[in-house]
Amino acid sequence: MKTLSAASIVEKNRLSSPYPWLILLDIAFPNNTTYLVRNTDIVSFKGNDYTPFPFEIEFGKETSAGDIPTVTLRVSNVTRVIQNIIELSDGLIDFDVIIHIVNHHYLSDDYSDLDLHLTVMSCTCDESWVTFNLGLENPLQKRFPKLRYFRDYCNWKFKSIECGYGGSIEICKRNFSDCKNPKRFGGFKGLAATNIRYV
Amino acid sequence: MATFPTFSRTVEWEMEESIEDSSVKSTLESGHIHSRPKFTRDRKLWNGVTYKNLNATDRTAFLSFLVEVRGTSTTFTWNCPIDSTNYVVRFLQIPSLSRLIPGYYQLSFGVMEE
Repeated sequence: MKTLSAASIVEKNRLSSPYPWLILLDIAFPNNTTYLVRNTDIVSFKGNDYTPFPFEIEFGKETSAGDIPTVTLRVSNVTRVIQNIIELSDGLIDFDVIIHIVNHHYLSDDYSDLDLHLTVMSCTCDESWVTFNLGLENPLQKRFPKLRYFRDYCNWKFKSIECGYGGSIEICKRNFSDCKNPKRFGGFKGLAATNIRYV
Repeated sequence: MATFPTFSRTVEWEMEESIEDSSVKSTLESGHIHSRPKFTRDRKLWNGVTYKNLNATDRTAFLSFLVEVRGTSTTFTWNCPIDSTNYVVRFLQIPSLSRLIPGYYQLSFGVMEE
């Protein structure tokens, strides 16, 4: 059960109120977090200033078919500010988005039960909107087992901690002949060159 | 930021002043209305701001200003003739500048607070 402060509950239950409920957005971009609010003025919440920005949120339907619910977030793309960041960071896939719902008159209250912590699943852009499809990771779509065993294909992402290469070369074909750090090659050279070996 | 030009004529007295309706409402079966504002500030609106008998110099100044603000694309500073306060506004639509007689023009527009 979600909990709110007594004042927020009274405010929520009023028939008419002069205080708006605002939707705040934390988008974790690669180098910083951007704080946006769907409002006419700047809002300060938990020490962060939320910038007024046009965006819309559409909550998906929950079905009995076992679909994992998703949220569609549309952020204005008129100035191409967001699109530029998206293009520099591979579509922001797997980046975190937090949606807060707060009452403007009680900003110091705890609304953490209303927060939605979501992940960017996909992203599309047109001249008006950047559309993020947000959701939770589907466990049935996760790779299992996590590592696959290939003879001549490296499991490690180039220049990752596992790869260990820190030089100036930018491209790796992820096979042994092209490996920049053969001591840490992430393939399994002992496997047979053809067919499948059951261990 | 661009500033709305000053003309040789004063603005007409008649104009409409209002605010943007940003309320969210749900009508209950009992007839009551469940309502709240959507935003923390309701932006002001002014409609029917009219200048009559502008001369060719005023016309040139206005058209230059219109190009500078790119129509409705950008905001500008406008002194409201009702309360003599400066507001940051944008045009609601592209203003209409019509010719009354050769050499004299009428301008009317609406603006909305940013």
